[in-house]
Amino acid sequence: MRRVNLDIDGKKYDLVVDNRESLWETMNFQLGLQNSNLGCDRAQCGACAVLVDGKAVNGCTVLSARMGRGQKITTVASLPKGPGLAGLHPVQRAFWLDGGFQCGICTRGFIMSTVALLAANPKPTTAQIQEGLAGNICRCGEYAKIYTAVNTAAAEMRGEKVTHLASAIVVNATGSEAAPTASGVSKEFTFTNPLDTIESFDPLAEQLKKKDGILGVSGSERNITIKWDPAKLDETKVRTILSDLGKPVR
Amino acid sequence: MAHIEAVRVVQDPAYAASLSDADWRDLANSPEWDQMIGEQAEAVAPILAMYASKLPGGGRQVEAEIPVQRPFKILGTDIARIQGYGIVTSQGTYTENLKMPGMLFMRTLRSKYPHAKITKIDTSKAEKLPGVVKILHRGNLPEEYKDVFLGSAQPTRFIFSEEVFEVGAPIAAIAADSEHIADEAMRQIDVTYEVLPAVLDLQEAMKSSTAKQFQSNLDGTTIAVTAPLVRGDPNNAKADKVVDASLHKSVEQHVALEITNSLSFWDGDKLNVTYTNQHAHGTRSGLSQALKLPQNKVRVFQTGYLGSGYGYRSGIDLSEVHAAILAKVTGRPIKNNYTRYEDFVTRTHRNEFRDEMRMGVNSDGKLQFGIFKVFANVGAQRASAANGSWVNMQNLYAIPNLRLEATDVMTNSYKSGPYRCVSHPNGTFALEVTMDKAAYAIGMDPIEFRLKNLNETGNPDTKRPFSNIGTRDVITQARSMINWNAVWHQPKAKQVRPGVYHGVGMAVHLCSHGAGSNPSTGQIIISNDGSVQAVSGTTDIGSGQRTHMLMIAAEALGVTLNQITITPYIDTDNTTDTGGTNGSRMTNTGGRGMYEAAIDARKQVLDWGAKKLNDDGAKANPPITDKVTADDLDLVDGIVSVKANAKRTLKLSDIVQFKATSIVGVANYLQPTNWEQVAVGAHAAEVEVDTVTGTVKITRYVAVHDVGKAINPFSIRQQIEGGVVMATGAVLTEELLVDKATGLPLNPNLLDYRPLSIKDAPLAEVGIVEKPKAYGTFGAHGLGEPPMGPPAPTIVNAVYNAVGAWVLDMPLTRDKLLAALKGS
Repeated sequence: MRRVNLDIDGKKYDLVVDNRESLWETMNFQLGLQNSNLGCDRAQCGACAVLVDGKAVNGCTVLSARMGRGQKITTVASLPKGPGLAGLHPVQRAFWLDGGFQCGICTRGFIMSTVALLAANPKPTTAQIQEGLAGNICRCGEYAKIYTAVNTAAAEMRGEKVTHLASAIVVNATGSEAAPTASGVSKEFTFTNPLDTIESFDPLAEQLKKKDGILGVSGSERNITIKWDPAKLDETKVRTILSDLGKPVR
Repeated sequence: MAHIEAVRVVQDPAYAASLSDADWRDLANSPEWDQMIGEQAEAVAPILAMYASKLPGGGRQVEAEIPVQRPFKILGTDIARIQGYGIVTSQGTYTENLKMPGMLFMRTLRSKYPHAKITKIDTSKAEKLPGVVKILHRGNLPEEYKDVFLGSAQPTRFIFSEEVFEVGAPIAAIAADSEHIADEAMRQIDVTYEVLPAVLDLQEAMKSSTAKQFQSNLDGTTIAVTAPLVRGDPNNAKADKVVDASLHKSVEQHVALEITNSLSFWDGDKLNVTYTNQHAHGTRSGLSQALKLPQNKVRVFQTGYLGSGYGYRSGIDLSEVHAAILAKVTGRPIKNNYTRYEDFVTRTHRNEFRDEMRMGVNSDGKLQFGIFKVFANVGAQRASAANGSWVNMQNLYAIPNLRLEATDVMTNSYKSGPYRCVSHPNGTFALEVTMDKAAYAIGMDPIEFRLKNLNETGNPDTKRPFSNIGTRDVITQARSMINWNAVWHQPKAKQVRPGVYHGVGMAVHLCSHGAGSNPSTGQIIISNDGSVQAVSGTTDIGSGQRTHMLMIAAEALGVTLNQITITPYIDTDNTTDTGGTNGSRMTNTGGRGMYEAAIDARKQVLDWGAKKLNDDGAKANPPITDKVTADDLDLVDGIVSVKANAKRTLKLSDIVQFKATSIVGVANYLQPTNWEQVAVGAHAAEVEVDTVTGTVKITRYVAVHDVGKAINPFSIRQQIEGGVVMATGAVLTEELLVDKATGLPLNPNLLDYRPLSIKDAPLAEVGIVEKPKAYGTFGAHGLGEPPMGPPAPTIVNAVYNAVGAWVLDMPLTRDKLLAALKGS
């Protein structure tokens, strides 16, 4: 047994730990912080990823007994700046509203790995995202939306305006019978003629977002997912908008 | 409640015939049976046909019509998960995050031999270790549990068995102050084994020369030979061309990232369990049976945050029983965290399959006959897996002469159990590869060939009709999305770089997952401030089931999404069973419960609304004499109004306060029995095959599924793109291996059994087809599992198109591809 002083998310804990105890065990069982999840206990899946002095490590394979030398441990608990959806860190909000998870067990680890990645590289390429997140497994297979979440969060952190693929249900604070918030209808289309490069996508997205009733745009050079307000537009009108912009879809 | 062995009912006609009426009722309450209904519908179908009148609600014909597709306010919108905030922060509690004061940690000592008798266990040294509280084994198991076994007998899995049939079979369960102490205690327990001969090979096991390990009239350790399905005269049918295919799939495992774990404690004589499971009430009934308790003395609580399950955690295993007994004898809460090794080895798997396919086709493209044989290595327990691969062979194409065979074989190895789509990926793999072989044999475009032979009517043998089946739609949309006519070519016709060839392939999937089953229950509560609660026993395994329950309830009732809530958590003490979240069935099972409860609540709202309006009208000055009835009213966005006079409105709070007690809507629904309920999908992929290194790179992947009605398109896209990644893992890398000499598992860890990482994952382009079903909630058909079916044949067919070689042994690794290239 060893006595250590751990600095977790800015708070100091004076503890006695078993020499064999991992940081995950201490945070989860001794402290009940539930700020990271276990997936394998062998540094093979990344679910337990937290940051130690800004570097992503597997909490299951870091011994708490060696963490008492002033290292700053940060987890998802340190990310929100305030309560509710608006208070979340951009990475947290993007993983939620862009669908970067299904069951969510890998998400706390993915979020910390993403925070480390974006701290080092605010505008990562696809290959750099792959390198940065290759140590995190998502068994539900939701990598497609993890890319979306990372890119959207990175854009927001660079000061750009972003939209998300889905809406969160937020009970209105003033009463239970307030008017509903518009959540939109979305559909994925395939371009009749794929765009030359992914870079052609952003200007098209900008033009679309200016159109009344278009709530969100995402996609690639082959496909485009558009979310619109059903009170103002329908699928036929959206197809017409795309045709008029010279980018018809199947 | 008696223990009726679900798998034996399906495999042993004599056993089924021996059941009394009371036995059939007990069977219906069995969580194993419930899981089979959801996950292995084709296995239970003959039993349901023969014994329907013995099962609850059985034999009753229920008709249904395709629901009216009015403009929806909530259905079809992209709503993020209700648990999202808890998942991305530290607020959400997964079972593994749970702890309690006084909690002990459990570890299990397990057999290191695949087949042995445990003749002696000496725990004396281990018990003396400081921090060890109790060690449970066969010698000190409380008397009342000595006859309890899980699953079906022959071979039999007692709580602690004297004869064990697999590496990993439990021998002793240790409760200690920490896992580290329990680990040390495990090392200090002396076990004396009498090692017995083990059989590990599927072919070996079927031989009559192989020693039997349990009572049976079949050869070796064969568990069951399903009565063949025969249509027409397959042995004598003639065809211009006959193609053969022998295929093999290796053992896959779910690898749910939250390792199986539970926290169990007793509150007086009531057991409380939180456990990583897909069916709270099924866990409750499993534990109540094993521990000989009535169900109301077992409470299962789910936190609402679950690292999925993908089919292997609908029910309990022996370890959960050990934890409950340890909690009882120690009087302390027991935390049982499996290791990743235990989760890999001792839980269930998608088993090894072998398929022998023979197909006859005429030059004009018409299928003449099919003789298809499926063999399943179901591992160390009685299980039914092989005939689950029949459903697409039987229903997808019009094959006039057909013979289907299925054999389940026991070996001392990885146990078979449902894993996302169960036996259907094997059926789709075998049939769709054979279809491509046939197409190429007669020189026909593989898609044209399939379209020419589609069966779009219904089950050819039982004559039950399909409802609005979308097979043609998914195929034509996949064809369009991949731009098939522009990219398809003859095999080995397109070298894109030196030694690297382009190919394109596709596959169609049909399976029995996605429809609803009984029971479908739920409640809607409207309180006196007008706020609404949806109460449902539906487990969310990550696909968003609880969010969808909320959307269905809101749409059916007539309120907005922020006027109604649903808890993430489930407590069996105050919810009703609505089946397990497996079989892709929750939209139509739990969702049906929500729909019916909401319709019931809505009816009460309008009835009481009419009463209140008339009451108000009588008291008005001057009185309003025109009386309204419920039919004159509408409920939209939480406001009741008179259709003919929109100015006369009421809030929900007005109505409930007038009634003076909460409005409670309840579901009472029996699923219809007159439809053949199938899911269909079509995938297509372009690949680049490097003939020097043997690597396959997927350059485009398209996946189209018929979902009936898209409740939440955001979630649907996730299921499809996630399922493609998951299944592609089994195509390219995943296989669980066993050492042939010792029977020891070789690679039960995440480095040597490789789920795909973000670097390897194909990104599917998703297409959603909506052909509303008569039996569906709002016309929907579930789709959690179907995306798992097509990837193997899609990729294998694309590889053939690229390099002219068939690789039919999954996973499609580099060595196999290079060997196939040498041979072709």
